[in-house]
Amino acid sequence: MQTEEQELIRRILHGETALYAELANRYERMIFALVARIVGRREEAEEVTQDVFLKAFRQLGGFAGRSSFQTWLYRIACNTAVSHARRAQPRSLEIDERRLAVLPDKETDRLEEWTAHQERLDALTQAIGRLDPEERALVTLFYYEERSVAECAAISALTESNVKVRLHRIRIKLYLLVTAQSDETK
Amino acid sequence: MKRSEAIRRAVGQFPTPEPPADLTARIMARLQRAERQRRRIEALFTGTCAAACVAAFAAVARWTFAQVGEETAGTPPLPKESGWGWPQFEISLPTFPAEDAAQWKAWVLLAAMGFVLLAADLLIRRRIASLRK
Repeated sequence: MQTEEQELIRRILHGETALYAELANRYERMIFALVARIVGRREEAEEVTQDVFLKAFRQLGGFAGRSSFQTWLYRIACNTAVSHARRAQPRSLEIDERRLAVLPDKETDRLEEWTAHQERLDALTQAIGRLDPEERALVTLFYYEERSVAECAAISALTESNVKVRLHRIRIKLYLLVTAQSDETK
Repeated sequence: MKRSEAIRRAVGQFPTPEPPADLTARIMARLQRAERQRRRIEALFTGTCAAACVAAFAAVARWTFAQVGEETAGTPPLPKESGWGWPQFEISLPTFPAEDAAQWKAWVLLAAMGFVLLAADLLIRRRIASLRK
């Protein structure tokens, strides 16, 4: 697969640009799904997905093959979708840093009890929608697509320890958002 | 790093839209449009630069030879060569009469112009490369 893909890329770089349709066709579904989860709206996701493939085409000569083509494409998709979402929704969610720091892990482990409660799951879905675009991207990659920390790090251009710290903070943030929402409704 | 089933399910509750059936065709159409536009800009840019370089070279050459004409006015003309023949290999010390000095200056100026054009060519190539990115 890798060699066949590398051969395809080599031919595209040598002028057979029509072959790029094959690469686009192969990855459009997964890129569209990731972008849609980060930007939120279908119409915007379509536009951003096109931007991703256009950028990838322009930068194809710079693809050194250090990572897989999929990881490389995912990185472009993540960056493009996050920048687009930031422009569209520049205000980020503010959470008290002190609460993030002091909340014990045992408390956030209670998140797992919510799988049985649809209301809580709905609140959790809403809370994910309120996260920063980079955080939404990490949540999608790590929890939904079940990618490893190393893969998340390669895609988001962060170090593995940085990814772990961010995922930990996201978990606490989500817990706080959902509990704050349920406190308000009571 | 712990995974969370609750978060996975919550993300899964987001509707996953299907990409439009003609997404690849649209991507390729946009790509071709962008390529055509890039080629147009590139042609316009190189054409303008080439015209400017030719004009600059012509202007410098004309000015240089006008200078040579002014400096050599009144000096006797060079003797006419009898015809084509094998080059003569005579070693002699260079002399710089007024005519030679003026011609040397002209050639040096033209060589300098050549270097300027080479630098311009390098800059144009770099600009085109950056346009392609």
